[in-house]
Amino acid sequence: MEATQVSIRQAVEADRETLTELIVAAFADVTVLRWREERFGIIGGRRWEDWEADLMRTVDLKWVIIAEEAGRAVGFATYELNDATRIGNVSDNAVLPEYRGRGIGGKLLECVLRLMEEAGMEFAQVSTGLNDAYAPARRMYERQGFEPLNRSALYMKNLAQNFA
Amino acid sequence: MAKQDAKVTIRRAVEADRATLIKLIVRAYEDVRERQSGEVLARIWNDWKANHVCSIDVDRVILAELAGKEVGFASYRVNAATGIGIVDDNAVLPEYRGRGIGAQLLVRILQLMEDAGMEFAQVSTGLEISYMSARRMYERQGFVPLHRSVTYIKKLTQNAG
Repeated sequence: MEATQVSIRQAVEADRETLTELIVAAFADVTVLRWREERFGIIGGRRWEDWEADLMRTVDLKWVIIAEEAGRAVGFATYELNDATRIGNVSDNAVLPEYRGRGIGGKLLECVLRLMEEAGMEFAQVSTGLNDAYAPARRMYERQGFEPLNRSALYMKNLAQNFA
Repeated sequence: MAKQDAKVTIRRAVEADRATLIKLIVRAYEDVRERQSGEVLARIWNDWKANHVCSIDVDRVILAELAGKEVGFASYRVNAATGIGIVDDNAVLPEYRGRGIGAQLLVRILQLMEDAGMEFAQVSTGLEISYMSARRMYERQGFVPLHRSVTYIKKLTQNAG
């Protein structure tokens, strides 16, 4: 299913509130912060939605692009450049669940890679999950020519249960 | 932890330790093969050495000493907003591994985090074979896996040819 009416554009300050809502809706089934909360309880007195929204409240919008369909923001991608290593990093990116499977994520990714090339990057790097929720994301990166570099595990511990 | 070494002392790093600490970090890390193999990892490692090692905040570092020699280090960060302490870079010199020195460093870090009012501790480590003893150490200390991830890399043809 090719998404024909999707357009990709640079995020601007007027998008910030939309982006805070978009990140929560698009990350709901793929965020580590939610699983962390389900396992360890509320962190720092705030829900996972608040921590995710914070990312968009503070991000430099210069490094954010938005996918729009019929005037609605349905996906976004953020990235970072590193002039020393010339390795660009594809950071947070997601598409609303009801708009998935139409190539919108792929279009966002292609756009980020082009922007990185224009900025002089020689490599692009991206991290994603290894569980089933991220299988479509992994397939997208592999289709785009990404190859696995290394794998890592994030561990957590409740210090109140310190038995050391 | 077969050969628990009683002579190991753990102490906080001070500014005067900086030169020793830099040498220690580089030596303790450079044998981790994944950091050196391939152009991309070499680039990341060199960039990390240049930008991170020399500017490391010694107030967030502890050292393991054996007979007056620094043989291991561990660093950490605290986040008052989340109440999560992050176990940062930590390593023991290759020839001093397998004696529980890393675990002694970790236990002290967890104590320092609790003292700083942290509720949780978090740590990331590799899934490759060379990190297996690190993973076991965290699991023994009560850490549970929250997420496993993969990092992908792609050459951008326009600039890399």
